Amino acid sequence: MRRHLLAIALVATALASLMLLDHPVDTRDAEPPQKAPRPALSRKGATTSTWYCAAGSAGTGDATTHELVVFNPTGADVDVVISTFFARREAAAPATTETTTEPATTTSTESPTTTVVAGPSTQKVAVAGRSSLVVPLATPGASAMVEFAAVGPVVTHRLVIEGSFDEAPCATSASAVAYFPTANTETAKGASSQLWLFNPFPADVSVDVQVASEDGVRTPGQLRGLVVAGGSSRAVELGGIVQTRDQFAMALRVRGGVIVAEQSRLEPGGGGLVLTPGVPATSTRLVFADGRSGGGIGERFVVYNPGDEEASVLLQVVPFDTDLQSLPEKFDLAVPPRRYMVLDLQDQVRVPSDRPHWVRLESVNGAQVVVQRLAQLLAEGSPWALRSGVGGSVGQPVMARRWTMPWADRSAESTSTLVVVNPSTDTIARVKVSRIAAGSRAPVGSEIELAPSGGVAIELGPAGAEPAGIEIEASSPVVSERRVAAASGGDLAVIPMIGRNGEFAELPSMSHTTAVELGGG
Amino acid sequence: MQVGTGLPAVVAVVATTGGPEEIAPALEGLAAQEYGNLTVVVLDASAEQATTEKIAELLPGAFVREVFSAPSFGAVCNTVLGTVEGATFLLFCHDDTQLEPGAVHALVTEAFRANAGIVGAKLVRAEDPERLDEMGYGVDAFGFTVPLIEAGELDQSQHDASRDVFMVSTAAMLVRADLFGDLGGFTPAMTPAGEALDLCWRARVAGASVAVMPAAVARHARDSSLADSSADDRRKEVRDQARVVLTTYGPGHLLRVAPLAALLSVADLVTSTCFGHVGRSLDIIRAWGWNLLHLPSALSRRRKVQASRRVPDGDIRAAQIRGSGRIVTSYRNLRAATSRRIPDAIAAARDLPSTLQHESVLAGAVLAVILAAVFAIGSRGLLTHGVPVLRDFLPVGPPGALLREWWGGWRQEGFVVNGAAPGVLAVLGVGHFALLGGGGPARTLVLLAGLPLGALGAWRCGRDILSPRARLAATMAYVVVAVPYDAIASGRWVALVSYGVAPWILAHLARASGVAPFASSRPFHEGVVTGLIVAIAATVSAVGFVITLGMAVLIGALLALSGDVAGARRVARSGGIAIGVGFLCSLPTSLDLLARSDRWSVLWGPNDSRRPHLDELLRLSVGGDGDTLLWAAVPVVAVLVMVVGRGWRFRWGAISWSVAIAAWGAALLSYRCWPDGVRPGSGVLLAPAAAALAFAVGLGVESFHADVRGGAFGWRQAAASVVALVAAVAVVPFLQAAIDGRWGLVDGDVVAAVATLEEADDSNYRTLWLGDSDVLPMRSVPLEEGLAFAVTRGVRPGLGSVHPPRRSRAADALADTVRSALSGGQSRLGSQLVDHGVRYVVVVSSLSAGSLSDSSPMLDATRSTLAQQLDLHSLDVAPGVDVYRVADGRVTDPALGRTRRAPGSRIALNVIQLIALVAAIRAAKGRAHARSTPDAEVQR
Repeated sequence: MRRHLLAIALVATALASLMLLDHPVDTRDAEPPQKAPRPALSRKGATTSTWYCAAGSAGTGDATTHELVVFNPTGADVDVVISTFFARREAAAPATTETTTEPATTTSTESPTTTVVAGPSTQKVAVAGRSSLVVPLATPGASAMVEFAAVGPVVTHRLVIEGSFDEAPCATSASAVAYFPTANTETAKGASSQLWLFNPFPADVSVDVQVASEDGVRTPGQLRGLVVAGGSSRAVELGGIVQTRDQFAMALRVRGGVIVAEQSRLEPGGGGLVLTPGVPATSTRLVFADGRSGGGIGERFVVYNPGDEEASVLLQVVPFDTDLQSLPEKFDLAVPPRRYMVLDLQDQVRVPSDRPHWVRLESVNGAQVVVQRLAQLLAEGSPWALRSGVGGSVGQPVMARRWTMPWADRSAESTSTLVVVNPSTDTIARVKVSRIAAGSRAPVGSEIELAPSGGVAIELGPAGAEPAGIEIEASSPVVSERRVAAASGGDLAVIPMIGRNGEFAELPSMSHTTAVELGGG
Repeated sequence: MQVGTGLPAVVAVVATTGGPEEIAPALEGLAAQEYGNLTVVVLDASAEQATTEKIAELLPGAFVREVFSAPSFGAVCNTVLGTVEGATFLLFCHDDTQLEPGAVHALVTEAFRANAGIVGAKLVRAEDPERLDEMGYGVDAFGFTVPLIEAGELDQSQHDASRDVFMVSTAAMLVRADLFGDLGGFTPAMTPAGEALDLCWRARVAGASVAVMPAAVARHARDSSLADSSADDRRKEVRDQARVVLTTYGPGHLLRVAPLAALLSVADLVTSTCFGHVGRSLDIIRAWGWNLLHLPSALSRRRKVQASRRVPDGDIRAAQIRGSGRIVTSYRNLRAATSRRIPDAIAAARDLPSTLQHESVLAGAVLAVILAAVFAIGSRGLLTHGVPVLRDFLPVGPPGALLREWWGGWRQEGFVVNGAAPGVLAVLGVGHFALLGGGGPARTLVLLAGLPLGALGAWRCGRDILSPRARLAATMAYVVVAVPYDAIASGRWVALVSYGVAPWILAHLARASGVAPFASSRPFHEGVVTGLIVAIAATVSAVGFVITLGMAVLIGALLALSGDVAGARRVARSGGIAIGVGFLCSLPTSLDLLARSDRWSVLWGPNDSRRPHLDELLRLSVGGDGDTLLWAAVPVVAVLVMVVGRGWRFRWGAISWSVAIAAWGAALLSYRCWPDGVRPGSGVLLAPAAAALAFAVGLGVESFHADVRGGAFGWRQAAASVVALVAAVAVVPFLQAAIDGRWGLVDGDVVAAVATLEEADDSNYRTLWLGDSDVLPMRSVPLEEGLAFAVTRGVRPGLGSVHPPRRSRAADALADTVRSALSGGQSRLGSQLVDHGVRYVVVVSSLSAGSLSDSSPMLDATRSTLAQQLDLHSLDVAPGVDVYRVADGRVTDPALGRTRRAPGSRIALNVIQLIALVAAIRAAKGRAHARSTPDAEVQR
C-alpha cells in the first residue's frame, strides 16, 4: 500500500510540475518590416532600384517643366533607364478617350468609354560615380519611372511653373493606400489641385478616394472606382469634383493592386507650388526638422486621423536655442476618427516667434495618424528673403545616421538650408555634411555637435552650376530636411532627406510633460 | 477410341500423377460401378510402370494414356478432347476420389432428370465417410465461391436432396460430352478451384445448368497432387476469380460489377493488412497485377465466352448468392474459430473465465463493425469528395510517375535532384493500379488509414491480458480522443501517423518487457515487429522512430527504477532492434533523413507555431474550433486504475500515466526550448499520451472487475461509479466531430483553385509558392522570418513533398533571387524567374481558398513587392490566394521532362530495403508461430 501511495504521489507531482512549464515564452514575434519612410533606399541584398515620379505637371500642364534630379553617391558609374508614361488628364467629366502615339499602344476597356493607353517611351542615360544629373522630361505632363541596375542612386523630381516650383523625392515603392492630409480647391484664377495616379505595373487598378472635410467624410462619385490602366498614369483635377474648400484631407485606397500617388497644388496668384507624395503608411511618431513661425512666416500642421478610433496626439515644438527644461508646453490634439485637425503655430503664443525650431508629434493612444506641415510666406520681409511661397513636408517617422539627397537648384539665385535635428533626449550627435559632385566629396563646414533634442540650420547657399548631392553622416541617428528658397521671390520647397531601409531607428518616445488641451474638432 | 452403345455412354476420366498406391482407391471405386456403359480412361502423368500395372490389375478394361506434361488437372483432362468419341457423358475424377457403388448411375440419372449439363457427386471424407466434405458451391457476383455445407459436417442426410448449385468440384464431376467439347474443355493454367468455377460458369453462360446429386457418393481424400489445391494454389484463387469475372460477364454487368469488385478488394486488402494477414494482402495485390498483365489474353478468352452466350447475365446473377461471399465466409470462419478457440483458451488460461476468448472475438467483431460504420459516416464527405490539399495532405500524381519516382529517386518536386523518395509513393502507386485507376480513393484511404490502424492497435494492446470489456473500453477510449480528428482537421498527417502507430509500439514494448502479466518475453521478435510497424509508418514519416525511442527509454527507466532491471534491459533491447529493423526496412529515406541538415523539419512536418496550453494537452486536444471540455473525459476515466488498481494492473497503470505525463511535458518543453524553431507539433506528442491513457482506461476497467466488483460498497465503488458517468459523456465530442462528415477539415482547396491554370500536356515549368510555412500546401523552406518558399513542377505539389528532396543549388539561387526582390527596389522579378523556369508565383495567405485570414506584415510586404513587378501579371484565382504569371508566359524547362535512369546506388539501397523487409516479415512470422506454442502462454 505504501508503494502504491508513493507511486500515486510521484505521478501527481509530475503532473503538477507540468504547470511550471505551462507559461508563455517571450517569443520574438515575427518582426514586422522595419518602419521606414517612403521613399527609402533598398535594404542590403537588393541589386536593383526603381523610382517612381508620379506628378508630371501642375496647373494647365503644358507650361510646367518637369525635371528629374538623379544623384549617384556610389563610386561606380550607373546606367539609368528612364521610362516616361503619358498621363490622362481628368476633370469632373467621366472617363474620356485619349489617344497617344509613340511608341506602341495597348488597349484596355473601361466602361463606358474606351481608354487608349500608351506604352512608355524610354531613354537611357549614364550617371557617373559621385555625381548628379538633371534630366528634363521632354513631354509635359508625363510620369516617369527610373530604373537603376544598382542600389544607391537617389532621384527627386521638380515641377516648375511661372516662377513657382517644388521638388520632392520620387517614390521607391507603390502602395495600396495613400494619404494626403492637406488639399484644397480654390476658385481663384490659376489655382489648381491635381491628384496624380501612376500605375506603371501591368494590371489595371481601381481607386477610391475618400475626402474628409470639415463638413464630414464622403467618397465623391467621380472619385469612386477610378480605373487606372496598367502602364499609365492619370491626373485628376480635384477642383471639378470636390466642393470649394481651403482644406480637406484625402485617403486613397486601391482595389486589387498598388499605385503611386502624388498631389500637385498650385496656389493662386503665384502663391507657390506644393508637391506632396501620397503618404503610404500612418505613424504614431513623427519629426519635422525644419520649422519657424511668426515674422511673416505661417506654419500650419494638419493632423489627419484616417483610422476608426480617435487619436490623441501630442505636438511638441522644440526651439533650437532652448534647453530641454524650458520647452513650450505641448499641444494636445484630439483628432476624431477619419477627420483632421489644423494647428497654426503662428497663432500660438507659447511658440517663440520667428525663431527656428523643430517639431515632434506622438499619438499617445496608439492611433495612427498622418501629418503635413505647410510653411507659407504670409508677408514680405521674412527671414527667408522671400515675397511669397509655400512649402510642405510630411515629416519623418524614423531617424538615421546617414542621409542623402540631390542638390541641384534650378536657379543660381536659389539658396538651400540644411536643417539637422537630434531627436534623442540623451545622446549627443556629431554630424558631418559633405557635398558630392564631379566624382569628389568635400565637407561642408566642420563637424557639428548636436545636443540631445538640439537642431541646427546649415546655410548651404546656392548649389552652383554643377548638380551635386549632399550626404549627412552622424554619430547617432538624426533627422534632416533641406529647405530651398528661390531668391527671385518665387517659391519655397522643403525636401526630406533620403535614408536606407535597414538603417533606420525608431524615434524616441516623447517625455510626458504638461500639455494644454486644444480639444477635438 | 470408341465406347459402347445402349445406355448413355459414360467415359470416366481419371488424371493422375501419383503412383499405384495413390490411384488404387479411384480405380477400385470405378471397378465397383455396375453401370453398363462405363469406360475408364486413365491419363497417367506419373510415368511409372507400376501404375500401369496396377491399372491393368484392378481395371483390365481401362484405357491408359500417358501424358508427358501435367501443368494442371484441367490441362491433362483436356487431352480427351478429340480422342474420345461417342461418349454422352464425361466423368472427371480425381485420383484420390473413390466412388461408392451406384454413383455413376445416380449421376447419369440426375443429368437426365434435371436436364443438367454438369452434375457433381456428394463428397464425403475418405477417412471418415460420415462427415461431409463438399456438396457444391454458391458463387457471388465477384466470383468468390462459398461452400454450401460446412466442411466436416456430420452427414445425417440433412442435405440429401438433389439441387441446383453454381459450381461443383472436379473431384467427381459428370459433364455432358458435347457441352464439354463446345466449351473447349477446361481453361488451362488455372488452379483446380478456378478450373471448376470457370467451367461451371461458362456452362451456365452456354445455357446448361449445374446440379449436385446426393445419391452419388464419393469419398474424397483431398491429397491429389494434381487435382487438389495446394497452399500455393489457394493463394492464386483470388487471381482466378478475378479472371473468371473479367471473362464471363457481358459488358453491362461487367461495368457494374468490376468497380464493386475493386472496392471489395481494397477493403479486403486493408482489413487483411490490419489483421496481420500479410499473405492475403499480397495475394490480392498479385491477383490484380497478374490480371492487368494478362489483360490481352483475358480479352481474347472473353470474346470466345461471349460468342457462346445463350443465357443473359441477369439469369446467371439470379443463380448466384447475394452480397459478398467473402464477407459471408469470413463471418462463418470467425464463428468457427470462436468455437474452436474455446477449448484452447481453457487450456491456455485456466484461471480465466471460460468465455473470455469467446467474448473477445465477438466483441472485437462487433466493435469493428460499429467503428467502421462511424468512421465511414464521419468521413463520408472525404470519401465521396476526396480529401482537400492541406499542409501534408498532398495530391498524388499518375501511378507510373509515383512508382518511377520511388524506384529511381529522381524527385519531381521543384528542381530535378536525385534523392530518397518516401515509400508512400510506392504504396499509392500500387494502390492506384489496384483500384483500377482510383488514385483519389487510394489517396483518401492512405491518408485516413491512421484512424482504423490506431483503433486496431488499441484493441491489440490489451490482447491476452485484458478481458474483452477492458479491451473494448481501451479501444473506445483511444477512438474518442481528439488527437486524430484535430490532425485531420488541420491536415497534419504526421500527427495522424503518430496516432496510428503509438498503441502498437506501446503494446509491443510492454510485451517485450516480460514483466507481469507479459510472461514470455521475446524482445527480439517484439523488436522486429515494432520495427516493421515503424517502417510502415516511415513510408510517410519517421516519427515512429522517435516514439519507439522515447517509449523504450521511458518504460525501461521506470522498470529499472521499480527494481526490474532485467525487464528494463529487455525493453531497451527490443527498442534498439525495432529502430534498427525500422531503419533498414525504410531505406533509403531513413539514411537520407539522418544525413540531411534539415532532418528535424522533415521529421516533424509543417511547423505548428501555436503555443500548447496545459489545459488543452490534458484534454488531449490541440485547441481549435472543435475543442471542448468533454474531451477531458478519457484522462479522467484513466485515473480509475490509479485509484482502484492493484498488482500488475496498478503497475502498468502508473507506467501508462508516466508515458502520458512525459508526452505532455515534451510538448510544453519543446515549445519553451524552440518557440519559433522546428519542433514537434502537439498532435504528434499527444498520440503516445492518448495511447498510454487508453491502455490505462483498459487497465482501470480490468481493475474494477478484478479488484473492486464483488466487494462491499466503499469509496472504490463510488469512484468507479463517478468514472463510469464521465465515460458515458466521452463519446459526445467524438460524435459531434463526426457529424459534418469531414472531421472538421476545411473546404476550399488552394491547389484545386490554382490547378485551374494547368494546361494539358504542359507541366515542364515551375511554380514558386510563397507563404507562411504552416499555411503552404506542401513542405517548404524558410526564406525570411514569417515567410517560406517551395517550388513545384507545374502548379501541383506532389505527395513526395512529405519527404522533400534536399535543397539544390538551383533552389538556393532562386531563393536568393526572391530574397533580393523582397529587399526592395526590384521591378522586374519576372525576367529573373524565367531563368529558373518559373512560370507562376503563388502567394498563399489562407489555409483554404475562398477564405481570408489575417495577413502577416511579411506577407503584405511580399504581396506588395510582387504587385510592383512590371513583368508579373496578377491573375484572379480565389480569395486567400494571389497568383502572378510571368510576362513571358510560355516559360518551360526541358530538363523537367527528361527521363532519367535510376542510379546504381539508389537501386542498391532499394534492394537492401526489400531484403530487409522480407527478412523482417519472416522473422515476425516466426514470432507468431512461437507465440502459438505452449511455452508462450500468458502468465495471468
